[in-house]
Amino acid sequence: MPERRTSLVFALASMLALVGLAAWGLATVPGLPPRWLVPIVIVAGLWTYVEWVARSPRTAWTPTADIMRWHRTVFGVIALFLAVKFAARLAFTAEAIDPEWIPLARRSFGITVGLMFTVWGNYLPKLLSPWPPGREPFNWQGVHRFVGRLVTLAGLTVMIVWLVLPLDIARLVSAAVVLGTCLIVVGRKLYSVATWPVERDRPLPGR
Amino acid sequence: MSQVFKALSDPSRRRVLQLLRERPMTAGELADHFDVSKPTMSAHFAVLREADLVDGAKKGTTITYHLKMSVLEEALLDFAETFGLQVKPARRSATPRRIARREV
Repeated sequence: MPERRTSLVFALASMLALVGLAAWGLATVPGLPPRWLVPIVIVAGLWTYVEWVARSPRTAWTPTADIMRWHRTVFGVIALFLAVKFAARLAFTAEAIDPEWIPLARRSFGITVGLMFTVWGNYLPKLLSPWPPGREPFNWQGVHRFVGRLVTLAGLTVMIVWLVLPLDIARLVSAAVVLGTCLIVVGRKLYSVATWPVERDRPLPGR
Repeated sequence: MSQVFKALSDPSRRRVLQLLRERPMTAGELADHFDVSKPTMSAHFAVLREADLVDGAKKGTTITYHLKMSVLEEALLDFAETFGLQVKPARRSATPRRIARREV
């Protein structure tokens, strides 16, 4: 995990590269649909939200250096990935690259998404709670351990799917896996918020 | 990574990690589960912290330990638990004096 300032510079540089490339591409390459702007707006919006929450005086938690480094690195990697994907799309639209490479490019991007999920999920349980001890609104450690395993498994599945299945089926299956994972993550967190008051007061394990 | 393997090679340290899976615990709560001296427990905690498998938050005189293991490290812990992985102390070489002592 890079230093706090390094992660900020990396995330900013990736985001600027992505936005610059998108603006240039949409202005110069004809036939590029504006839907390409959707992921850029989502990533930029989410990152702004995280930075705003971290600085808000009304927030009940203190963002640790680890958590901020983590978020910035994640958003930086996603922005970089989207920038590379966008650049490839521009190159194919402008016919700078032979179209016969398109299936390989799609497969490579799918495998990269799986790899990103795997690495992300593996590291997730290492993040410590930003709340003071005993004041978490849900079982931070339990939820992160569960989500870490689930996301790692989902990432490995997506990688395998893109490696072995035909492209159209791989796209459907990986989208279903990612969507299913998101739903389970939200469900697990809501469950923990509901049951945490009882779970927290459970006696310690016996000797 | 070698620090992780070193940390996971000891059954007591693995037991500490298993207990922390339940919830974060203070050093005292953890020590209650072992029949060893406080300095020995402190040494175990130091090894686990060095391997970045736990984190200790100090509040006053109390240190609360939290689990800080990645998915891969947890899988290694389960593997070590299942197969009873344990590093045996290096055998002392048989010097002539020791051989003579054994023969007496």
